Amino acid sequence: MSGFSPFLKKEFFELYRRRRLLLFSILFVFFGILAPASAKLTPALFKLMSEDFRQQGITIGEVTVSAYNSWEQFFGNLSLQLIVFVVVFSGSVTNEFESSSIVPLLAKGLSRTSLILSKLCCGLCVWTLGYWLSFSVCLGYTRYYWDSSTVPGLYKAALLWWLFSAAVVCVMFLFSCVVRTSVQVMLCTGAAVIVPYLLSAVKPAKRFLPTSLIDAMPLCSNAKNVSEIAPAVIITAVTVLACILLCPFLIRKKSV
Amino acid sequence: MSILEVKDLHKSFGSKTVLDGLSFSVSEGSVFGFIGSNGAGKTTTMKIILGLLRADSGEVTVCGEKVRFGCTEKHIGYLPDVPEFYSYMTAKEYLRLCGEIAGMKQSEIKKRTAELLELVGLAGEKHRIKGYSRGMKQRLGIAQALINSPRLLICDEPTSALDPVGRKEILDIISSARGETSVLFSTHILSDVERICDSMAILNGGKNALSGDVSELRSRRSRSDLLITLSDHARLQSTADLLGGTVNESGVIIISSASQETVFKTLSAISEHKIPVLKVEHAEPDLEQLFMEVIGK
Repeated sequence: MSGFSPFLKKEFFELYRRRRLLLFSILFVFFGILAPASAKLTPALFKLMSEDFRQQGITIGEVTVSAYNSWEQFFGNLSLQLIVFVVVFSGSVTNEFESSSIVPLLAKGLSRTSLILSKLCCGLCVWTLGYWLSFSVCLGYTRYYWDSSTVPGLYKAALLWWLFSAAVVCVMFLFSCVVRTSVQVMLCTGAAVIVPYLLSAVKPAKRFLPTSLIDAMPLCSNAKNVSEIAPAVIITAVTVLACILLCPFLIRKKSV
Repeated sequence: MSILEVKDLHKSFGSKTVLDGLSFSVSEGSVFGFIGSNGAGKTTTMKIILGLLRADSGEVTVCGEKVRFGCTEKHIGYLPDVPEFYSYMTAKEYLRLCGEIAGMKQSEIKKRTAELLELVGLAGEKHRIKGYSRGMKQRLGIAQALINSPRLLICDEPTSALDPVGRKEILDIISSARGETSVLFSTHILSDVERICDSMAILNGGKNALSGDVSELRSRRSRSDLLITLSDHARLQSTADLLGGTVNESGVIIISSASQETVFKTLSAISEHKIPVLKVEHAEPDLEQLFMEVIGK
């Protein structure tokens, strides 16, 4: 693991210098505020548009929103945050090899295991901190405006969504060790999410698929138990571990 | 004592054989010129020495330690042909990163950074690397390669992309590093080898076609041609036949591989037959001739 700590430091320094940390902080806080804000504004929006609807013969009754709507919005927006994260980080490994900027450091004794694990560690840290930052902002506003009794299973739903997203981040780094360009990394990671998503249409397969972890609202309202999707939880956790173990092995074969 | 030993190295990419039993050694304290035309396998050899590429067979030892794929020897400093750095860093920040990765102490890194930035002429440079010219990047490349005081410095065509001023600067820096490290210097610019190298090897067909001391090889193997320019071009062919030479496209008579004795005999013949001569030149043997001779062109 020669060079792990200095290279990890370099990764965070790069995010800071290239203003990626600032970008992600703004993004995560924005999405944290967006969910309760849009839930709060929904009744006012409907009221504003009610006259237009009435002219078209549509009558809208009183719209009431709760914490449930705010969290529904939050979990809905998470996919978008994850896509932005994957787009930004997809070139993290491949760009180093494509531009050969990694060559002087490998020649200085940086081990490839340290290289990929520090990148993975940095990626997971940024995503995890950003995810829970966004969650905390949303939680603060939602609790301020509404009673949280409508979402008794909120924390387990959030934890399972995080587990799924961590698996996506790990899969992205796994592909980074195999393919050459950031576009290929994005396409492969996208395929790794879309294929199980399509397979989830087959009901018996659903409880085994990691994508069932992002079906957050039934978990939030306790309409669904974690035990129902236990195989998917185990498979997702195993995916994370398998990626962490496989990455150092695969990156050794990458040519410089 | 040899600082680097390369023995019977083989490497193929698909059906293309790049190295076919390459062997050579670099002795401690020397500047070794590794010559070959483009695509001859110089970079491949260097990457194998650095442990960045796996050889099909053969053995490489640096300071007596066997090189394994994936593990670069800490005694080596490497300057790639077109070095790429992190553009958002300054030279100082980059050298600190290199020092930390090489496992140096902070105090040592600070001292070496100041020394090396002074040596390569970047001491006053406060800007980030993204604004550097190619020559400045090459100089920073040498500084990063020397940061951990390696016993062997490997430079992959360090001057090929530079203008004459940049080339001179880089060659001067490499020459000044001679005291503290041995240098393996790959190039296809033969004048650079003549200028700073003590010994050399010519890579051709994946093999070491010729190696040894630069001055010795030049005098031992090179031809030194006698070039005669006549003032009267009407007698060109008959004079060439008389002197035993050939006429080139510029109208100059060339007597190949002319020894001193041949030179004396030719001058006597010119005098005896009263041949009107404009210039007689005994060309100094150079590496270009030697290189062409070795690669068979």
